[in-house]
Amino acid sequence: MPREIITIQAGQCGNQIGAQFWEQLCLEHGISADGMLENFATSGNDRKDVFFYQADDDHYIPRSILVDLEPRVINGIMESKYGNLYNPENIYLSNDGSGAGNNWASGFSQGERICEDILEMLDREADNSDSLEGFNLLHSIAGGTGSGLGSFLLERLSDRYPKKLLQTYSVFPNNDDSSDVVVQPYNSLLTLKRLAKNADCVMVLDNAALTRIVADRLHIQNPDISHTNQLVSTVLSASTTTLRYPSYMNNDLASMIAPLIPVPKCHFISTAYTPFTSNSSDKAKIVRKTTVLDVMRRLLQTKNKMVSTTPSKASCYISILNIIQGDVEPTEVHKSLLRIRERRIAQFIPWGPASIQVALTKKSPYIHTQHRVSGLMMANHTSIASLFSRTLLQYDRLRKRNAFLDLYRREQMFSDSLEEFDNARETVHDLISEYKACESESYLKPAI
Amino acid sequence: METSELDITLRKYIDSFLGAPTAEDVNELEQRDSLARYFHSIISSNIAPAIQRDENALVGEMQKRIVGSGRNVRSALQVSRLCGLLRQQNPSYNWWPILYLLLECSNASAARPSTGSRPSSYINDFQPRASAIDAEYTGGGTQPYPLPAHTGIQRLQSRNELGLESQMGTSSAIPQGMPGYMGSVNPKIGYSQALQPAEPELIPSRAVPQEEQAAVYLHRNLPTYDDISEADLLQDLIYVLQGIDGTYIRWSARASSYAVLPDIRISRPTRSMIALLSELGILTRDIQNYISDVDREGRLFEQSFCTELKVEMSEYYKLVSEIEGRLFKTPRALRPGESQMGVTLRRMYCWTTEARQKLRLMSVAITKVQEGNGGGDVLSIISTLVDDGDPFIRQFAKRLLKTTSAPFNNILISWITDGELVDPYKEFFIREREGRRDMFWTEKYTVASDMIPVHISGEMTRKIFQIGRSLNFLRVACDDAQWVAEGGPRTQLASDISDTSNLETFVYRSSSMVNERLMSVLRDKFDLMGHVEAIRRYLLLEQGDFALALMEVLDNQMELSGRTVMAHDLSAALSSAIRSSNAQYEDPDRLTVLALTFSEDSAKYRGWDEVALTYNLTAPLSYVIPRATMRQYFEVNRFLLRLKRVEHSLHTVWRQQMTESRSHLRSKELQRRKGEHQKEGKTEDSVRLAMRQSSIACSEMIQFFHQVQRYVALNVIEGAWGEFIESTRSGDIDIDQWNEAHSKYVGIIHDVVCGGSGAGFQRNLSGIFDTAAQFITVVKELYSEHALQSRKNVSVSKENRESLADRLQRIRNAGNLFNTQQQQQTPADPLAEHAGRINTIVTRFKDQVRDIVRTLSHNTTSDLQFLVVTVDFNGTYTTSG
Repeated sequence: MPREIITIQAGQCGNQIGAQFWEQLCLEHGISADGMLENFATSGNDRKDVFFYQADDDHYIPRSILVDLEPRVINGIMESKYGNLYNPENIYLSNDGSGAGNNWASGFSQGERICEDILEMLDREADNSDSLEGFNLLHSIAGGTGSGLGSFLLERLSDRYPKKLLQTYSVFPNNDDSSDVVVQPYNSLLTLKRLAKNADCVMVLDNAALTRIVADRLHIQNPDISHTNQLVSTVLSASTTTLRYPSYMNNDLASMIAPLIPVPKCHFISTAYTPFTSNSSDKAKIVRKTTVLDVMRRLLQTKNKMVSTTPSKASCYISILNIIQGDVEPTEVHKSLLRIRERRIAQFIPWGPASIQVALTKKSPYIHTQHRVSGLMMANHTSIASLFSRTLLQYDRLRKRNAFLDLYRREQMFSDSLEEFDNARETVHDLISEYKACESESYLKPAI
Repeated sequence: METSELDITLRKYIDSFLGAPTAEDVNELEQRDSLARYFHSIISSNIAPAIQRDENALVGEMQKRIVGSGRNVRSALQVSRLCGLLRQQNPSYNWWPILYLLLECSNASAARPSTGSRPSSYINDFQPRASAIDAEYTGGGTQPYPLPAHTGIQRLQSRNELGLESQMGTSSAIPQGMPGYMGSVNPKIGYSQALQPAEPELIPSRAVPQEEQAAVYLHRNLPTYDDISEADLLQDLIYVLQGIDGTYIRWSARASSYAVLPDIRISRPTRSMIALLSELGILTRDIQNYISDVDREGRLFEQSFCTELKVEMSEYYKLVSEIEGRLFKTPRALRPGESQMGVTLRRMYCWTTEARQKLRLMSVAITKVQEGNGGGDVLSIISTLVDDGDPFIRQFAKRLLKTTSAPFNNILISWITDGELVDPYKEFFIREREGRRDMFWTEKYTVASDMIPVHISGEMTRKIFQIGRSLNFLRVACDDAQWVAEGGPRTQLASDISDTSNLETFVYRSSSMVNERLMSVLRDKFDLMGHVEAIRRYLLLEQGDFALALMEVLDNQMELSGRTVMAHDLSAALSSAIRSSNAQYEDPDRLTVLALTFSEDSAKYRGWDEVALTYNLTAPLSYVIPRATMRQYFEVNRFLLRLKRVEHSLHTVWRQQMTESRSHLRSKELQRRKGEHQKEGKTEDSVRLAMRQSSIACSEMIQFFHQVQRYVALNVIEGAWGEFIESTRSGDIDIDQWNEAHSKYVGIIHDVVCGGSGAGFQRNLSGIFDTAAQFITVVKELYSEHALQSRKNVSVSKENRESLADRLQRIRNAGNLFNTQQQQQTPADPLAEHAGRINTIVTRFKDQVRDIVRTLSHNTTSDLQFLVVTVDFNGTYTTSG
């Protein structure tokens, strides 16, 4: 029972992240670009079958479905070194190849059209699994395909696999500067509703924060999408290490995210990672001394977080799970926890027990990093609501002007009314209040 | 006898020597009487000496004496000066008697032939008696044969005597014409020393030992002549010397000695000579008895001890026969003392001096050996003699030790070269225990500490024990006989190991060699560390995916429960878990020994929740790692599995909650799109509330159990494991040290989990486990009930509804294991009732955790406090309530 996880990469962003992710996994498991196990990797005790399965000729195939409405990115992947890795049957490219035009409604309604094909792929992959744990959706919420088609798929997966966990790695747009996608507040809001209602766990990755990290931490002056994607794939692979390198705990998705999500509604997880290294910048190559305490402390610093939020005084952690990788003395962890507790570096919810949970994982023996210890934090923090508030604000600004709504009215869903927008706004607003309520001591008192 | 003044003076004189008489002891009084009479007779029988009553003449005599004795003139002048001083002190006092006494005393101490007025008979007659009496009253130090020398003092005394005799031996006479005898004696033994030719001289009579008690008294009644000739006596004594009864001298069992037949009169000197000589007979007899005893039923060490004794005895018999041969040449007619050539009693005594010393030594050794524990103790006893200061004794004891230790060395060699214990009489200091095959390594051999010879030190003992047992283990259990025969310590055995330093070198070298081999065989051939790691992976659940798969299988099996779990169910479950986890790539050797079994104390109820994993080590590793340790693993595993099961069930509940809430939202969304706005009833609201509560509680429990699990895994197991690996890393540790480290590692984990002093998790957490189990059941019921009701709302056919109701009832029954009272009454609103129950359980859970936090934080001795820190990281349990 490998507790398989099927990855769905939707849209340009999703597929780019996905490609990076699979590349990283191949490196970590010693799988060559064409799926064959490298000679040095035959004796590992890692679990490749969570994310891969083996074809008849023993080559490893990702449990992954690549979907896009325009062919550019996927074609790029197929022409790359890793092009032969994927199962060609698992690639869906829209026939017309015109894309969704950054329109959520277009992506969503195209989903309606192509869903049979995609669900067939999913069913095939699901049948191929012994004990399917769930799905990972990689997408961005601002564009058309990742957000629209992704939303559609979330709804359908929820219906079709009601008992499976749905996790998403959702890249949030950079809200700070005006981006090329003017309708991104609309797209974001509509996707957020699906993330709130149809996903079990959303890993929030914020382009603004990612760009900042690339510039500040990796010292890259003109960050482009490949750099941020690199970060996302690092988070992706780090957050799945406990599944791939089994140890005492957190060996399935449920055991990993269950302690993070005490109430089903609050399932938006922000991440932080340290230390970042990149080969493309000399400054980023500086090796620092890393101890568990260092790593755990840095993970709590805002500058290492992959989400830009504006925490208020009342903001607090609902839960934290630190995945520490590398050569760690197990008892070091507890000493570090003691120190963090003493100094009250992290503020927790006032209404229930909460703590920094730690998972130690093995490191891939095939990748040599300069740092002794690296860490990923997955945190459920109430300040994530500020990100939603920002989206809501921008949406409200746009909506007030009734700007660009024609694009949406063109699709059947919005042809009659824009109620869907209102409902999405209500849902996100609800979500914000829920997080707000979490900061209060009276959270447990029956509010209804 | 009239009491004259002389008598009284004599009595006083005697008393002053011997102390006041005790009235009770009649014997004593009688003896003193006889002494007094004796003195009296001496004094009265003496012719009064011509005493010079002139002080000056006496002083002159003294001066003459001093000058004559070769001392310087100054001393002579000193005497006259001192005498002058005396007279000045009290000129009226008559000083001459004192001076006369001093002069006489100096005459006596000079032991020279008497001069002038002193009658020789007086001195000659008196001195032996005085010496005899003296000897008698100082505790019988000069007994004819040594008492068993228990104490140091006695031993010392007998030694003194030996020394004395030895001195005498050198100055004793040797008959002329004895060179043949000298030649026949093994020079090594040292007879030549005793028979050094010397100036024929009268044996100083003061050496004549005592006779019976009241010797003096008897003396006058004793015959002064012998009934039988010395030649006859000598003939008889030849027998006695060999421990055989003679014609006149027979063994007296009553006195435990040889004695002349009572009706034969023997003069006192002769009698005492006979007594002296017959000591040899007594010793011979004792030794012969011992030898024949040992020959009959002796063990190896004693037998070889006897071998040496026999050699010595044959030397002695040779000597006796020499004497006998000489005796035949001696003309029978000669009167005692007349011949310079023949054998006399005194000569016989002198010639046997050396032999007597040896026999005494042997007898002492025999007595000690008989008192000792046998075996290695025999060697220890002889070894103590080797340390003796007397070179003669040392020489002799060395020889004795060499022979005696031969079988010991044989056993030792076979033990340290083959690991074989060839010790039919259990004399070696290593013993084999019968019937402990399962404890091959730890129990098969033991050290018998009272059998360790003194020349083998404690460290050596340990090493020797280790070498042999390792070799034995290699040969018998590890199937490595070829190495033992061809590459083992045998190849190193070059020098004579009877030498202690050689033995030490050999043992030290082989010890590391054998140990290295054993460790490498266990590590490489039998994969010791591999198994221990496998135990950690499977029994301590380090192989997380395997544990998870096992949980899954057990859960599935539980669903189908209702029948007795059979052994094949267990093995099927295990192999299914192995198949679906990375355990499938495990070395098959390690998988075959892994088994799923019932814990022993669940004899009554054999359900799926009472199973635990065992790791059945095979030989030879099962001999190395004690069963108790494996038992501890099992117990730890039982707890860990329980913990894992609770955790897993909670995850299942959590997953159910997540997906349930998702479906709920989804169905509302679909309704919204269809434009159906269903007003949610009040019940629905309360159910949602209950669900919310339960999901928060569920997450609280998950957090708690995660923290416990994390603590056990990281702090306890991994911490102990790290130490274990560290301490066993060095190459030269032996299997016992390894085992100790391993037991310590398991012990630490076992202590935390099962805890001896009530601090164990098992006890502290059992209440919480139960609460969590109840919670899981109730929440499952809640969700099933809710699913049922929402399905009821949708159109459901009547039969279907009934079957669903049946199912619900079944679930309820299953859940009501804990609350049997409520089983029968069907509540009006099951959902509300469940909500209430969840509330109760959650409250109880919080209380229990609070209790644990309190208990553990008070437990300052253990590092369980770490657990408190993580469980109560944000202080919820300590601040609230």
